Amino acid sequence: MAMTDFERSLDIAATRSELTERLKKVLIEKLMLQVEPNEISEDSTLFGLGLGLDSVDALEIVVAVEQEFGVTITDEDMQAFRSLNTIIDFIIDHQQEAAR
Amino acid sequence: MNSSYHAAREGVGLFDFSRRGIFSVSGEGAVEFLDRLVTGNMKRIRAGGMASTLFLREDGSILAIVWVLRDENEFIILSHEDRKADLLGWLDGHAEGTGIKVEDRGPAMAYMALIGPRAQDLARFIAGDDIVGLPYLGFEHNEVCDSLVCRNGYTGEFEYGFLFAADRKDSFERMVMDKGKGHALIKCDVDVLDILMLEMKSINEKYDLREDSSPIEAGFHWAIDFRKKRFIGKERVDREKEGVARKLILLAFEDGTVVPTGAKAFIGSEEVGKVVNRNFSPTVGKDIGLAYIDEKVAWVGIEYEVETEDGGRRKAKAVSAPLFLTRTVKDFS
Repeated sequence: MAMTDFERSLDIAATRSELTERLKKVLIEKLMLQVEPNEISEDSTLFGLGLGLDSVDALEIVVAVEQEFGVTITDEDMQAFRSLNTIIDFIIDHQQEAAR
Repeated sequence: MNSSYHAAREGVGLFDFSRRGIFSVSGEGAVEFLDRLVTGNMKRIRAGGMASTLFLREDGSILAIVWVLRDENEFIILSHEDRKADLLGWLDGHAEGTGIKVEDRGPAMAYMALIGPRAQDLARFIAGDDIVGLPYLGFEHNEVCDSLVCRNGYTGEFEYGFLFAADRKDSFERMVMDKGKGHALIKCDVDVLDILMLEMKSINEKYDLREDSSPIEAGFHWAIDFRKKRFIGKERVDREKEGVARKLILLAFEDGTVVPTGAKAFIGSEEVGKVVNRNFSPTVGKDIGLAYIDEKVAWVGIEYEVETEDGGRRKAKAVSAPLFLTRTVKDFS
């Protein structure tokens, strides 16, 4: 039986939620952030207001995301590193490309 | 409006924020007093530093989103103009009998700001070369332009705020416009901030907060010190941290007819939320908006159908914020 629109949405939510939890845990561990995963919102910006990270942290994030999610990140890709959600977009795009 | 937008996103614009609330809080115990009232940690702000934080009501709903500046002997609080009366009443009420002095400085002060990727160049011309060393979330008493200069903002671009005596407003504006000639400076319509903030998903008190909106629903986790033992509204923050019923989500709309504020959002036949803010983003060339959506389907990538003014429906998709990398970030980081 075909999925309903609502079921398809729940499917997207489940995938997104799982990736987000993984990313939060990796960032907390690698950057030694003194917060719990549920104390970070998905749209929090990485730099400035938000998580308040700096350029050294940015390099740590790149390494952590490459290792955890098996993606390669170039200098141009750094534009994607604006918030947790934009990193997740990047990971999903690259995983879909690799699957093709 | 269009020229104001392009000035702030591509050059530099001058904004008059003098209608905003400007308050000071001083006296023995002012740090502890304020710390009990806001979600952020006031003890961690150094003199010359500032933070964006929230005042919550007893039920944990958001009373005001503010900037708090810590000076040597006082705190200065900057609030949205719509919230200043409520906030002053709140501060006065809590200060009563404590010896803490709360002053409404707004009537005696002017507040103007330069916003845009070229704002730093012009601020340097106005406040001197040393202003380049002023960090984000810092402020200083600047002798060159006889103002308190702060660096903050919710637009993703450089923002330099100038606070000074209200009777100098006209002469200050003339001076800035004159010095700004070589920088193509224009005086901007403050309403353009509604678009600039929406593109960054910076919460706008004019539209985005319902009477009972909480910081967790609105994604204000970063403005909260979860380790603080107490602050007004903390019970709801602690409870909702474990899960909320709805979340504020950024939407990008497909082409179609106007979506009114308060429009219901659906997935299939199921009603899942309500739109609170919609505007056109010139940078992405689309209508964008914010909606409170049921948490189980409030995730990026999910598509909704939203009611339109003519009784039809228009497709919208949840998208990541901020919508794009601003020129300030691209060019200067």
